[in-house]
Amino acid sequence: MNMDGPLDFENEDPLVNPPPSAEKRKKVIELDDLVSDFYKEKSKLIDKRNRKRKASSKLYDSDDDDDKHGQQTLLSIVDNCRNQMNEICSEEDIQEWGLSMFGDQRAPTHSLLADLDNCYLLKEFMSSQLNSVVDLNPDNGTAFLEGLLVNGWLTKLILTCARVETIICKWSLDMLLYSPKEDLRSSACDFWCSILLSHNEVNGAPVEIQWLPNYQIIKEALESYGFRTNSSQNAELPEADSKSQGPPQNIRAWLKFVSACCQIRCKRSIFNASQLEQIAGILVWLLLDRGLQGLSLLLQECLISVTESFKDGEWVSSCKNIANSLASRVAQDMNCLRIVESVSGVDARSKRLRSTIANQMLVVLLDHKESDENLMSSLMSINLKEKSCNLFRTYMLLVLAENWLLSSKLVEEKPVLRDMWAVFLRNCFSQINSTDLRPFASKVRTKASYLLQGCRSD
Amino acid sequence: MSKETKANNSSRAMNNTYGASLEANTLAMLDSTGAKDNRDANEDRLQYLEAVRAASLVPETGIPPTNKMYQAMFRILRFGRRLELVAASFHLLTQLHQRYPWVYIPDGKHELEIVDEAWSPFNFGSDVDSGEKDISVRSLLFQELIQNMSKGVDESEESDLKILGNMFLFKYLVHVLKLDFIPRNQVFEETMNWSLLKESSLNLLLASRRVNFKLLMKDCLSTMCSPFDADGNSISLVELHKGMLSAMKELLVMIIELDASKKKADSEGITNRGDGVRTPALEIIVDELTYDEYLLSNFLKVFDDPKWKLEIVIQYLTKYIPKPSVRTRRSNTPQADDLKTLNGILKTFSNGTNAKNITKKIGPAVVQILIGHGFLAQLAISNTNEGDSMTEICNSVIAAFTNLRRVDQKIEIIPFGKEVLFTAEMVLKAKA
Repeated sequence: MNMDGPLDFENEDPLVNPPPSAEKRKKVIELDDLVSDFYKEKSKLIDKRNRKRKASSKLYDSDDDDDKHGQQTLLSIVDNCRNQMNEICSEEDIQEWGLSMFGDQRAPTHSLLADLDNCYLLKEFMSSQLNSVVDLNPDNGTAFLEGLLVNGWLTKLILTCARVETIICKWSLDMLLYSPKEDLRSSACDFWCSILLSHNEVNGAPVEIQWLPNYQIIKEALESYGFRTNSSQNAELPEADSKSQGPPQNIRAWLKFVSACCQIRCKRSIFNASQLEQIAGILVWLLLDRGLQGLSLLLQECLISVTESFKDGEWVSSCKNIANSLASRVAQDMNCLRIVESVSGVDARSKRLRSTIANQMLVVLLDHKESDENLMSSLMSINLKEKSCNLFRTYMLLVLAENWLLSSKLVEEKPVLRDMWAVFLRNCFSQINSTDLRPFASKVRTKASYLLQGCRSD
Repeated sequence: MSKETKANNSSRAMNNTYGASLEANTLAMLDSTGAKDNRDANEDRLQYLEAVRAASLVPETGIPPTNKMYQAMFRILRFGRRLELVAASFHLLTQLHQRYPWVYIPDGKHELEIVDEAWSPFNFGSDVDSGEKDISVRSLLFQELIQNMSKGVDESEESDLKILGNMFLFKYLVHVLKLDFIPRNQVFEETMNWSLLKESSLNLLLASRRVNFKLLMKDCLSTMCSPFDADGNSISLVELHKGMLSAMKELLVMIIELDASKKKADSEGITNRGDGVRTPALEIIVDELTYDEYLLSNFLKVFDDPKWKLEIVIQYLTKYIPKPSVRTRRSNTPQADDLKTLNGILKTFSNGTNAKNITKKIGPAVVQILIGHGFLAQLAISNTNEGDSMTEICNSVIAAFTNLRRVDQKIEIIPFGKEVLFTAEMVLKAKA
């Protein structure tokens, strides 16, 4: 053991040693790394206690050379035991899902703010008699409008008058997307959602909106929040990127606004099919960011609004495009399972999306572009007994195939797929012994046995 | 999402056998781990939730979860040690309730369908704990939860996860109360069958002797009015705090509506002594808001149910308007009926003495706040229907302000008051 090197707990300290990237770490695995890795994952509590004990014994060593030899022998025996344990338990050495989708924020390139001097609404009031009491003038126009927005007057007024001018539209959208004040951005969000959704009310008058936003504006806002457009390539794992600040609070208003834009039912829709595809992709990526876990309900609702807003004719091909783009860009780790599971699968369209994404990922993983049957037969041909068989990969294939087949009507339409699916499940169950210690062996076996029950009870 | 309703009852026998095997197979995923809190155990819990989703939600004819399975999901929601688990169980449970409601009105009918022995996160059976294993929510726990919310995020010493978990739990419980209460109340209004509401979870919850109703209302108010620093907190916390506030609003509205229905039932003589007596929530709220300008302006800002907001404003103001006297009926004394509408109340301000007295009693700022919020609520209510009364209200609002200024020339019109005038004037211009 290298006594001059940093202590093993120092290795973990990001201040002493910046955390190496996941790939780098694979190359220089030392005994101590294995031990600490094992402990880190197994139990933080034991780890802490152990590190303390180790540190104190090392201190003791430097004081007393006579005991050093005995201590070291003991330590190496203990380390050996741990190492063996580590091999047994190494199935836990799989990264959890999670990407950090946001980098540094930057100022937006275009401002939507216009000169409120030309605001018709304010100008009209200034000419009225009551202005002697209110004292509205060009200097306090912005502050007054903010008050109207925050206290809900603007929304009620516009809904009653059923018309909103361009300047107010742009100004309030700017508040929604960029205001650092919570009451302003959330009121602006309520304002926009109300006027957009007034078009869907049966007996309410739809508000005539003189200016509607476009995809470019919402995309630019997201980029200014630090969203990494080329997501998976440069999105780092959250551990290595703990300092990134994440998006500003405006992301919440952004999501609600996009959701409302998709729900509006008027003659001209705000986004076209390919823009909707991109938005759907973005939402799925956002679901992979652990920093946004509290927003998962909002994200999923938004995703449903997006998928629902495709026209019937567009949906089939758009769904495939969304799935394709996700499958080709996500890393082949826990994240690709998380993507599938983050699509709720409650309504018809999200079921189809779930199934299609799973299918496309299978195509990528198996490097296959042929028929469904061929995809299934390559699954069936996996020999799980072979020592070199990567069971984590098998586990992913199993979960993906489950979602692909069972979230769709495929097995009902093609009974042969059901039979092949049953064969694959039986292989997973029978080719893996219950005492198999390979990583993910028990996971594959248990999952397959559970799914087999479903096959039988059908 | 379609509801699986009575049409599926015929297949219930078949479902039962499937349900039993599903229960055994899915719960087996949790058995191996017990109460441990390591990564394996948490992954098993996630797998369990996914399995229930795959069996009950994804197929077109899904198998409804059994009560034990619901209980296991709820356990994860209550005690999950990771945000991922809590959020996933919350979503799953709410989606399941939507698909398999336990109280609902079948399409085209006017009666209530109630599923026997349906699972509920609440237990009002007895006020004695039946053991540690029981994780159902009792009245006392619900009250404690609200107290925790009212402590506010900044003062609380609990961990972020605990705070987020409590917010998810509260939101879920209110959601369950609502799914149970709304259809019952709707059918009550048509049939005047009080027992439907009497057995609603909300009524059972509030009827418990362990609940101090007045305290509960106070905690709700202070939670809704306490300041919250959005920029100092994580995005997740801010979003959940918003969700918690709107759940709190929903809870208040439900309680007020329950009170209103109870009053109706009382007047029909279909309640009995067993139903107990409780100070109506609205009265407690108005009392609490009186003489507390901070609470008043914040509460009215947050509480945006137009119908009941208007009612609160009207009840508040009527306390300070001289009651109509039968013996000396002078022309400008308001009649009892007038005082039930905002317009009627605003008219009393045209009398100089009235306006002066009210302003003196409750202060010029509070008068403006009350008129303003009453007007805001009226705008929301009138949006869809009548246009004439809208102009009338706007005129009355402007006239009331003019009178306030006439009787007290030094009165300061607060910014909120200016916004009221602006809006009233602009609505008039648009309607002209």
